[in-house]
Amino acid sequence: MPATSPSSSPSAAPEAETKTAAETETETESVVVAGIGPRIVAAVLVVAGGALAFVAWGELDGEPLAVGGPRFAPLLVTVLWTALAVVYLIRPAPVEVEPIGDRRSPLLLVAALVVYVLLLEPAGFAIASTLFFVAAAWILGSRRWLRDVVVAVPLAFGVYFAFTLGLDIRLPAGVLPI
Amino acid sequence: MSELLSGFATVLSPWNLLFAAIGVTVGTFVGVLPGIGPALTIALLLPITFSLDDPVGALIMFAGIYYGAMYGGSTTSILLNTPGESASVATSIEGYQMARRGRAHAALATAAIGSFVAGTISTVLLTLIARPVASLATSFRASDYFALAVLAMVCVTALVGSSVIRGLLSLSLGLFLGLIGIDSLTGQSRFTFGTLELLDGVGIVVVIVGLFAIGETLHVAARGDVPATVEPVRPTGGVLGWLSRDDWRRSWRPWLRGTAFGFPFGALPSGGAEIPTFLSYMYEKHRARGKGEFGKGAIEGVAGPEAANNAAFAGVLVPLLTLGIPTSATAAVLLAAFQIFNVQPGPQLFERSPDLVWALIASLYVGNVMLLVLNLPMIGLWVKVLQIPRPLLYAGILVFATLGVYAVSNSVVEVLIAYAIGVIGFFMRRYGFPLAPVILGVILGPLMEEQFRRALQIAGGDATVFVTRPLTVVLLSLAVVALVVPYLPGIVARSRGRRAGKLTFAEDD
Repeated sequence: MPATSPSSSPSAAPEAETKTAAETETETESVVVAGIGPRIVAAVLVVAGGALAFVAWGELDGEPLAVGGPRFAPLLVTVLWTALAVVYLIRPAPVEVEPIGDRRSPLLLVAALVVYVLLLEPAGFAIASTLFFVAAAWILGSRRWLRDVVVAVPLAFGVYFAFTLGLDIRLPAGVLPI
Repeated sequence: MSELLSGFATVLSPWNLLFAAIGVTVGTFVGVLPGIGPALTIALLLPITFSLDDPVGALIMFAGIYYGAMYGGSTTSILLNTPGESASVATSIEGYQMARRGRAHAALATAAIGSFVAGTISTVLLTLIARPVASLATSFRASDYFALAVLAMVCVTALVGSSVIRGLLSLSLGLFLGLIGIDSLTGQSRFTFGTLELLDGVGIVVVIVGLFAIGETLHVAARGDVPATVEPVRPTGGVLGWLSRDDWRRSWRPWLRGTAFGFPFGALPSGGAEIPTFLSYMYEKHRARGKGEFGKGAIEGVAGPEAANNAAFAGVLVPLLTLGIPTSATAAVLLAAFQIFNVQPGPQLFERSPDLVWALIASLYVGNVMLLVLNLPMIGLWVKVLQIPRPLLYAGILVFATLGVYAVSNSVVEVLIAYAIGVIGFFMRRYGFPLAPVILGVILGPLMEEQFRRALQIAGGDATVFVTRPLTVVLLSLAVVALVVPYLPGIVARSRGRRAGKLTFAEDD
């Protein structure tokens, strides 16, 4: 999964050209164990699994645990999760992790998404989507404001009308009298 | 046979043909976007079928969307070398090399015609075996269903991805997500943390959109330097004469062999199209040994895997339609789509609504033809889609992801849950956790638990029911074998390693 660059960056292309299939094969079989990352992930999984197992235990509410009852599966799944996570913490399987090129963008994107969905109902789908589209394009590296707005407005309003008028699916109209 | 004919009679109405055409076109449009595989395509396009009252029309549209998404995916793999799902990875290896050498048209044509041939043959096979398997399935008891669900989950977890323990952890996450909400047998709430919003559980669309669309975009953003555009290798030359006589001669056997790999592997609970496409690729490579053409754009390396990919889909429909057991992420989202229209696949479906089943199967034939007729001539348009600047493309994917979840749920909270799952998906991508087991866990977990408890109830609480019924025992033993196989050295490990390495986007099937 997290191996070669999905967007096949132009710089990688000429390199690929000179490679035969066999070479590609050996190359991708080499595995890099990335420092502390997988262990942090494993630790988070142990804590999360343990917490969920605790919740599942709490939901038992003092009743005896019945294998055929509704409380058995939650406990089983969360306990297995925790156990697997502990094994993974002790012996993380090797994984190739790409270096993070940009820490800011994903955080900004998540923030933009949250603002987007919170604006969805008060401001309406069309306005919220227009604003979000331009913001997301900017976060992802686009610096052509005008073009992005020119794309965003017809996209957002087109989708709004296609869904509400064409498909009879209710989308929030928000502040616009539409 | 007469049932199939009446199915055709249903499908071949002008409206339904229109639905098929819309499905194929929209499916290709979305499927061609880099990073979007068939499962996400169907999840994103679910809302457009909501206004259809008639489930037949919706199912026909899904069949079109599915075939379109597959075809779109292979187009992207060939022209851009960015497979949208693991099952297209094999195609991209030789396909992209062909495109670089100016043979993009031949690669696209052998993929499309191979998909058509494989799709047709395997739909015939599906037609022939669906009813016998369904009547066989009526003798299945609850414990068998439980064992089958275990087997399907374990196979996907163990055979797909690069590490079994990470696969099992992914599966745990999926099982947990599937447990959230009201217990179907007793009505008690689980993992709802006292909120009303979680009572209905976390829908499969929310999970798929979160993991694949949001997670993928965050992953792209974190890698930095999103390229403004990526220039695809353009097909040149006219539409006619895409395949030379020599291309035909070299393609038809791989098409048939690919079909022979794809259908049975699809029908078995082995994780869908990933394994057969790689087997087909490796087999064609092995046969071509000494010719030195593999790695430089051998047409066999496109023809075989693409045929296998398409044949596997009809294969996946066998357990899905006859048993109600999805064995790949795409099948899981199809099952969710069926359920939205109150269609519950399983042996009873053939008894209760045969018209619907046969209309669906007939629509597969129609979707297949439609794809060939509509899409090959429109290849210029799909190339244009690939040239959408990346920042706009991903911004658009996020808008449609939000829209998709909101249109399904009408709830801001569900959208936020999808975002949260997207953040989890981002970390899973980074640290090598496979995504398909999550999807299977969400959809098969509740089914598995229900059958388990039902089996216990029927047996009066006697747990030996799982070790005394032969079919149950066989299925559960196979599940154990599937967990052990990846630890055996040799071919499986090697092919897994390569797949994990070569896989670039959401493994989505």
